[in-house]
Amino acid sequence: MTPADLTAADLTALAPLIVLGVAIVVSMLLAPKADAALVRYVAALGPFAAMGIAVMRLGTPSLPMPALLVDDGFARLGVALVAATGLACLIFLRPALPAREGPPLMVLATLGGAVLAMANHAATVFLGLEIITLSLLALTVLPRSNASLEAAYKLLILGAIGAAALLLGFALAYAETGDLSLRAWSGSGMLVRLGAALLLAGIAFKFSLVPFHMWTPDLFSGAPPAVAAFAGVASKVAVAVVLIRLAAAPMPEPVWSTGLAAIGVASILLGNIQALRQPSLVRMLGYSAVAHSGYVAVILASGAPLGAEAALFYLASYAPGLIAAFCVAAGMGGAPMLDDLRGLIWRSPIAGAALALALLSLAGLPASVGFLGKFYLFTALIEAEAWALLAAAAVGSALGLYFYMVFMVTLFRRDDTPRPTPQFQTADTILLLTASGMIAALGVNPNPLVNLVRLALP
Amino acid sequence: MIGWFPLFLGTLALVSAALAVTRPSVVHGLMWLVAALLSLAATFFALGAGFAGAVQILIYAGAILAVFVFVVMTFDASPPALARERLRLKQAARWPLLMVLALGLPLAFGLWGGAVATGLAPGGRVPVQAVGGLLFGPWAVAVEIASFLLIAALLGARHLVRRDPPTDSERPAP
Repeated sequence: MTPADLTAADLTALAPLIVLGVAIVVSMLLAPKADAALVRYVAALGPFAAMGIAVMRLGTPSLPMPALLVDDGFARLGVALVAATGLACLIFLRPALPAREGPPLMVLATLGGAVLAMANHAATVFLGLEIITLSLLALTVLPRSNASLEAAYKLLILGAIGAAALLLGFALAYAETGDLSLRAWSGSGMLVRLGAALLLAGIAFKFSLVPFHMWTPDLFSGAPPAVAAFAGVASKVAVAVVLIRLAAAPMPEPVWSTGLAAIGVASILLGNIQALRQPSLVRMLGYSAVAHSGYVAVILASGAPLGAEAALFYLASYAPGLIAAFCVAAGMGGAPMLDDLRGLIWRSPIAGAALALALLSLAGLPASVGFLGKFYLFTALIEAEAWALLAAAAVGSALGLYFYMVFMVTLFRRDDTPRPTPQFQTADTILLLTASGMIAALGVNPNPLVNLVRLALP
Repeated sequence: MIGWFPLFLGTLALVSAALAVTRPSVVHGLMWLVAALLSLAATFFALGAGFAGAVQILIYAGAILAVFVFVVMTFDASPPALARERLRLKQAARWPLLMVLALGLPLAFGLWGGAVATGLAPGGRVPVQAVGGLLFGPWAVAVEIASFLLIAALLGARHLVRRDPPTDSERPAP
């Protein structure tokens, strides 16, 4: 296809990628000379427009796409969630000036997530994953501190191993089926099965599932909080869309479901247990993110008819909580310890209340949107009659309740030691208020979000 | 089957790669790496993928190796350093070895199992025109997306090589 062959339908379907690309190029060119705030505004236009286009097109019929990409409900919902996360993370991305590359890189990561959400071929899956990994890598070293360099090295080396496993998996399946699209896995030969196992390992790296999760806690504590929030929400949404597409392929069984269930259960248990005694807010969130990945993995492994809906709803419901928690962490210098948070709600009511609501939502307690996510999780597992997975999820949630509550109670403890007040800019405050509003409002009436997710289902 | 010649070249590549990572001296390791990359390129040629073979020689054996040679000049190659490296290799070899074995099994199975049906047409030749036609035809969008991968690498490199930490005169973000 030459540019002249692109039809209006193609352009409509590609519009989110096009606006993101334009925002990247323009903000990249502006970065060296222009005002840092202007660069950030220009960069933010990309995810904002992409989100708007994707949400408006939810529920409209699929358009034919150029090869390698697909335009369906999952793609649009994935793009909308990824772009919304990218926009939110752009707001509290720090340090902003020493690293003028920050805003364009954040939009690049968003573009990678959007490509992944639209991918239906090995080439686009790999490109999307690598764009996310490379831009997250560069974003991680924005502060150039020792902790961020360590996190970046772990992400680089483990990410390369994950990418190698993924490619080998695709290659083995290709050797048997001669097809590289995501539907190619329906074969049942030995090579396809081995390929599926390797593909699972490669995806588990990106989805931070045990035993391939080692980079997650370091990234969450070493990288700027906005970057960690993006890695915790947007890249997971994008990979979850790929997992949903693969499950529809269908993947060779029992390799796929058993493998996914096993690493999912291991992630739930190990993630929650390791989060139990973390004194640092961001490391705790890092280990609990491993556990949240595990919940999504067991939903998809259970094969429940509700699976895709439950997994997407779970990720969407967990996003505002994680973003708000990281925004508070960014305001408190990046890596606040348990002691720094003592009495936060009295010193800085907005930040304290937002963090409290976020922890409530992440723990899955009622009156927060996280409760509905957990509700979907348990419903899907009961529907699939996956009792062992259900037990693991229940134990994990109970453990999670404990460590989230430790942080939550600390927020309300008064003491007389003078502690620094967190620094928030106006945009941060608006973001915190929006995220808290979403957690509380959707917790009371989840219908808007449920309808949004249902529009994406085929 | 694909004939003995590509298999021979592939084995050569595998053996050279194993030697490349087990040599204590970095220069020797590099020479074996060149051998591995070149035999891989020869494998591509023997399988009919001439374009991939040429790219392999130009980019990997050529450009990337040149960068390695510059890095090697900064390394310590004295006998004590070599002894230290040998010791490290001995201590750290177990897990990578296991991994190579795990990955090698399916390949061995594919070679000797015989029962594996492949969906590939054997002996087909892929001319450069076909590759170009694919990349600048139906896959054009993927090529455009790949360009953003390069932008990400470029921006990251630009940030990493900047020496002086710029002054922190950041104005409040929007």
